Amino acid sequence: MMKAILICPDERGSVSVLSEAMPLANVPILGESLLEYWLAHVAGLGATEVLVLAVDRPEQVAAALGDGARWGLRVTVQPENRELTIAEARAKYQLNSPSSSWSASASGSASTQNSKLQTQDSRLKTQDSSWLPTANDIILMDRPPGLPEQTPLASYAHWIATACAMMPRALTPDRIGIHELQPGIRVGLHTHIAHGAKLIAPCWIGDGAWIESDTVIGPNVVLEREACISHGAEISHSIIGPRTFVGKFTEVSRSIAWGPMLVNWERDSCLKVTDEFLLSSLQPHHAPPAEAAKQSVGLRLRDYATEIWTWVFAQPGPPH
Amino acid sequence: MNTHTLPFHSHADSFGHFAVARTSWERHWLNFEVLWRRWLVRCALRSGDLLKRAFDIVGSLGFLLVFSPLFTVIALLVKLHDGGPILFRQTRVGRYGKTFQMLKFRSMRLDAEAEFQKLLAQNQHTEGVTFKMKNDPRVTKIGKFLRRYSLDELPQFVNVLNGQMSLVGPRPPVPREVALYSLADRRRLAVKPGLTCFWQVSGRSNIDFSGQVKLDVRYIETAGFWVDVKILARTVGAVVAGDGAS
Repeated sequence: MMKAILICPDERGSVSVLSEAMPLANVPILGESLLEYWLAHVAGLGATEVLVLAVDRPEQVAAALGDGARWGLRVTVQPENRELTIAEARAKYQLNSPSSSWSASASGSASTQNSKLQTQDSRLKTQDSSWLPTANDIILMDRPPGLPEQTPLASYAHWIATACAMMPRALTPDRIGIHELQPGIRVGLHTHIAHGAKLIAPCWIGDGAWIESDTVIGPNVVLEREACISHGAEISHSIIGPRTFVGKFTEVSRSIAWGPMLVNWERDSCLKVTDEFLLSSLQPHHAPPAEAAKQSVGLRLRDYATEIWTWVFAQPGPPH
Repeated sequence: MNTHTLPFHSHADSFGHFAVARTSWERHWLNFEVLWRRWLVRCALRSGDLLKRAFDIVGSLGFLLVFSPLFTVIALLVKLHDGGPILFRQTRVGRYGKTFQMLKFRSMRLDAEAEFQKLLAQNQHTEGVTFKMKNDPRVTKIGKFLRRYSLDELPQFVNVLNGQMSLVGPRPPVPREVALYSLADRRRLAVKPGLTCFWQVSGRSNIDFSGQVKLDVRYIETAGFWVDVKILARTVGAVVAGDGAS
């Protein structure tokens, strides 16, 4: 039994737009979240049990991971009051409970009343377990594995720089589907790319991306999962977020388009685009995709009805 | 298109980038058009999964109904042979490592699990992940016949109807195998397991484990409605011919 602790980053003001719908640990960068990259990394190093310390929306973190069977791990999500440093986490979970599992010290000190997470935690009782080697036993997930010089959470510019740096090496052995069509052009599964679309390396087209004709994608462009680029749009030096709709003839340059939010990463400024035909979320009300997938047909119908109702009766007045 | 007959200008390409949104009505029209287009894209993105699930439900339900007499006959045969239970539940690993109970017609003697450890030593698959052997002594006479024509797998259509499995997908492994998987081998758990896959229609048991993972990943990458139909058709052929299973 090899153990490891992953510390989720708390909300950061520097990249607040990204963490609106989901905690930072769940935000996809090249299709997978930092948490998923790190879990695959520690699983590759031989870990079997992982404790994830989450501050921001721990229930969403837990929902995204399940019990960790996807990586062959046993994952426990432990809610925390604040983001611990590596030294604090070591003192709290590693040194205080040298031989037994972390559940003794963890359940004693946890103050969040999430009973479901707690029961998951108490289930985890292991006798003789060791830790991964020191550099990898406790990890603060503020950077991707294997790229210690990248700090994606420092600013939006750092986020896009990290995404570009990760492109050649985001293909961990547990991933399916991303193929390098031409040098620097990586395309995922179930993508729809029209004939007239022009792809310029380096770019990353995530799973299920939808690209219409006469579009120009690249250079340095990341389309996250199920991004939709309409006819005639031009994207360069940008990230288009998951399930984000970019309208006809829209030009996105040096920006991060995340649902209806548009961030200029050079100037660190952001605005909300109110005209849906320019930029919007594919999901009604910008719900995070995991939640939307769980919605029943009835709820979804209600959402569409509300959307149409809003359009008919609650339109803002004419612009002049 | 003659734009003058329309109450609003609906096509941006006839007016350039911005001219279409000159008035509030045109703006409203564009927003309305986007509602519709986003709905279309959403449907297109989801259609693959929905189609697969619909195909699973219709296919398994149809099969169960059409072949219910065959099910009755097999159930009677198994029951009358040694009086044990008809169905055999086995824990298998489904999508993302989630376990479920897979149904089979029982083809082994009642004490089969106990004898299993002795037989592990005679494992034919050299890489040690999967277990398979010819002339397994635990198989009953009826079981041998059922296995030859893969009839013992038929109750899995119930698993398909339940949504734990799909008609086409990588075969679900047992937990003992999954414990030995590498991270790369785990890729075959990325989709719902199925009754049949590339591996089953291309020589069946005669491929080694790494080849099996390669085929499964190839299936996940190329999966689509017509691929599924093709695999199913070839499976029927392979089952009727009875090759590879015995």
